[in-house]
Amino acid sequence: VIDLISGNDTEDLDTLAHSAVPWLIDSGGPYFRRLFADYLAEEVLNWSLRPSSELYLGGARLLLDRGGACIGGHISVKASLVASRRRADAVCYLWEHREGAEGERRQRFLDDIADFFGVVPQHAFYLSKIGLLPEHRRAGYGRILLEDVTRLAREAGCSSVFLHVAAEATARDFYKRSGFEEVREHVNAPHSLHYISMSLPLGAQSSRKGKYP
Amino acid sequence: VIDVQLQEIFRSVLRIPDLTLTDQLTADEVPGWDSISHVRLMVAVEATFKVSFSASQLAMLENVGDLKRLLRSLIEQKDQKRAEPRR
Repeated sequence: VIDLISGNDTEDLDTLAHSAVPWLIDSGGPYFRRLFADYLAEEVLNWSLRPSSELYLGGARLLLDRGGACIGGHISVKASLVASRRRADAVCYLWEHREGAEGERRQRFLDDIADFFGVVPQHAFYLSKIGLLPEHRRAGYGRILLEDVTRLAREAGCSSVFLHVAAEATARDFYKRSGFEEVREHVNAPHSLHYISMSLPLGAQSSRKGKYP
Repeated sequence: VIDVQLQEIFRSVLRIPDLTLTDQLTADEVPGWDSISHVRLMVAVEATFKVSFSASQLAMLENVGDLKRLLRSLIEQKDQKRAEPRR
């Protein structure tokens, strides 16, 4: 019924990147809305289409419907790569908006939220984005995506999965039910940002295995 | 020549007078070399060598050696263009 592919296994990634923008925006939550403001859709598409983005570097797994359209997916990488990926993204963003009328976008980026989330534990697998188009939620696809993330994390030899979620997001309950523990709170009052760090230890196989066939 | 000029740019922008550039050197190893100072560095490199970088080219750089290779290829392209006879 549905297919899960790696971003670098398709020649049609540019088209898929366009269709991924809605759930990527949703996945970025209030942080993206604050960071990119009125240019949200434009900037997320720019980011998706850069050869340096995780979509192209193989960190993305895209959920396709029968017609081959992207209805959701996740982007996750080993924690050891997070700092260099973030720096590459930041460099691209600052470079593209380095002068003239676009200075306002740059300033917003530099305005103390670029490093908002802090360091990801070195042995973790970092779940950077996960999402589904609204009409495909509550159909079990979220669990399929999360199982894919934990499988990749184990294959990469990581001891946990780590993520950041907006405090008010409904996904927070989904992660808790899936075994994630809340480990840290990030509050940035001036920008009304409130996020939670969550971690899923991967020591033993989940006892819930088999419950969701 | 590129090596010497690059080292001067890095020393002056990062304000580390005794910094020695090696091809393997990465941003993680140098205090103060973050994304903002990286953009300052690249602006200075562009101005010095009269070349221009795209954001994607910059994002793919992993270390100083990558930067030198990119810089050499851009300078080469520029020289070839100049050598082409005008029609």
